Amino acid sequence: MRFASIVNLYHDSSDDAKSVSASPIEDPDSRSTRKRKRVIIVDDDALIAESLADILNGEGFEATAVFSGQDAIDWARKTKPDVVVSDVVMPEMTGIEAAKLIREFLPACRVILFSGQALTNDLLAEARAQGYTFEMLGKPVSPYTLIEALRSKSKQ
Amino acid sequence: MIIDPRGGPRGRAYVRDVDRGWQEGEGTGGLLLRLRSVDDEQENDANCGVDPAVATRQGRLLVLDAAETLAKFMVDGWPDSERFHQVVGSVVAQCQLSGRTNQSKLAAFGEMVALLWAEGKPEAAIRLEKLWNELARVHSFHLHCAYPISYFRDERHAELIEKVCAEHSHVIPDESYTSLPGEDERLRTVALLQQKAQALANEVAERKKAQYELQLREAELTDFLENAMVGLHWVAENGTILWANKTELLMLGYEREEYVGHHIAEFHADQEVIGEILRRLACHEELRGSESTLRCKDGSLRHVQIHSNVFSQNGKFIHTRCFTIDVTERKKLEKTLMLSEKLASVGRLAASIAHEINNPLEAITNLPFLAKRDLADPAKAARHLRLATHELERVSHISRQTLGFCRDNSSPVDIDVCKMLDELLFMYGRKLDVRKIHVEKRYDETARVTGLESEIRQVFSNLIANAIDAMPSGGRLILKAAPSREWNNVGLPGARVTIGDTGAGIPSENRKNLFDAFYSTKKDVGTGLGLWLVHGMISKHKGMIHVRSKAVPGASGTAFSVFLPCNSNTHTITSSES
Repeated sequence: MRFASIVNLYHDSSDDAKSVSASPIEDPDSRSTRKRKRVIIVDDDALIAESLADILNGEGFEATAVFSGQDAIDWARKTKPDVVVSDVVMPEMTGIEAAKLIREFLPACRVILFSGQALTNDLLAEARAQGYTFEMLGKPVSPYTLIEALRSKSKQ
Repeated sequence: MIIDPRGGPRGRAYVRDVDRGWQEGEGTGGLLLRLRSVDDEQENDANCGVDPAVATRQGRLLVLDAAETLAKFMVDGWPDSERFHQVVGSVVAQCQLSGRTNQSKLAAFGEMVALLWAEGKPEAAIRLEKLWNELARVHSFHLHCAYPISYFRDERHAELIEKVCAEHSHVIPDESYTSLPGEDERLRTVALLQQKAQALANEVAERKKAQYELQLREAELTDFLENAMVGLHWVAENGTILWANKTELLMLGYEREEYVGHHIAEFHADQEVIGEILRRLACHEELRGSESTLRCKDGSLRHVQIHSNVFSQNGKFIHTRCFTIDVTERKKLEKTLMLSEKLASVGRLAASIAHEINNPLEAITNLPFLAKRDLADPAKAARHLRLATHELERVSHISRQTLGFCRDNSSPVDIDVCKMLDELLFMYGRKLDVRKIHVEKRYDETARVTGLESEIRQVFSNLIANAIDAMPSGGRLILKAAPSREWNNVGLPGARVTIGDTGAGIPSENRKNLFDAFYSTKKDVGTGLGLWLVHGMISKHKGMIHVRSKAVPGASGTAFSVFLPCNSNTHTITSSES
């Protein structure tokens, strides 16, 4: 798989995920015995997907970076994540299309979309018309904002 | 009085009459006073049954000049009674006195009435007849007159002939009629003549009716043309306006006499354009939608579209028939539309730039966060910062490039085509990567064009964007640039740029509308103005654009070829906003 090799570039070791205490953000939940939230980060820009996954792994999440809508679906089927954070405008399959398909087999999965394109509004409106609502963040999203969003309750 | 039905040579009829009057009416012993007009002289002498010379010597013929005699008693174009009696009366009296045979009668044959009639003075002629009749009451003589029937050629003469006849004791209608031997034959002839007269009367009535209807129809058509929605005019071969309808006069604000009779070029703002129009019309070419600008009376200009052709008869130029349509409002709308599409396309560009910038920004936001976190591991932190620096450079570069689209440059400059194409490729770099579009560059680095930088950039940008849109799942983008000359007009130097893709191609039915405004096959994202704008900007730069496309699956693709001149007549190019 295309994403696997790139993931290896960033996930130097699984130890990254344990350095929770080094995080500058104090999160009361992370100290609890609660299971770590499983997150999939989807962006066709590898640097973004990987750096975000890296950050989240450092913040007590179990994050994986993938680089296309189809990969997101495959990985979601395999790992049953709690949250999918996805870019919207990607070639071949948009983040919205992928999110809709993931919702079919993981109805409880939370979806946060993030995009820096004007086109996104149209795509979101279209999805809303079909009965899908997704949380939306505008690019660039600061890591703090994303972490905050992931720790808060879903607005859906 | 004799009416000559043939209306033929006057002389012949008169002469014969003289002869007859002499021989039959008054007998050979009579005396004839003849008032002869000059042009009768020849015929008279040749055809008269009696030798005039002999008759004159015998004192039986007195010839006077009709015009000369007439002049003696005419006062202000009217026969003066007193003078007539003096002049003619004395001659008649003299003839009677000198008559050798007292028993013989005097016959007078006058052509003075005919002269008056020929001069178009029928009332004067009738007056003269009356004077002769007055004279006849004093002196005993016969008066003979002959009128060619051609003098009474239409209906208006009915009353006049009646008056002339009233002045005479006898009327002999036609020598062919009078020569008929029996009463029965004459009656038959009368019946035939009556039938002819009736038929003619009917024919005349019919024609009058038809003429009246024709006049009505003509008035109706004239009114229709005067009030047509388009301006209409006729121009003579020398350029003079022969006629113009009300609509055209209203459109331009001129009175009829300020327009008709003037040279058409006086009303054209661009002499080159009207010169070309007249030149083409002189060659009997048909003009369809030629654009021009007319100057109104108030000095304002109207953009018009002219359809014109030449009305000719037997190859001779009679006049042009010109239809002038006011397209000023449409021009204004087009201008607004062009401006709004430019704005829209700048908007789309801004969105795509925002996307290009937002991605590196996202990375730049993340990487310092990671660097800060990984401070304990300097190598790791340094790697994050190195990546962040690289992304920052990307953002800066894009930002610099973006300026090229926004710079308000209203004067033409020389443009390095290859450099511009490369900048655009950089702009679209991410899109190209994502779509897995391979770029093939075939550059001749010397390619240069002259024009407004922002507009030329937009032309290429739109064409590249179209090519990318045509290849949603990969392909090849082929960019060719080379110095060239205008294809149709050898000599104009410039550059040719070809932007090709290996997309699905344009089906032939879509190709003819390609450059029309609002024509789009991209349902979601297209406004249908992109290529229209490209075409407009290329035309403005006096360039050309051609498209070749193949929609055969497996071997499909599209190529837009653009020629733009270099160091062309650029002073006429101004920013379209101005």
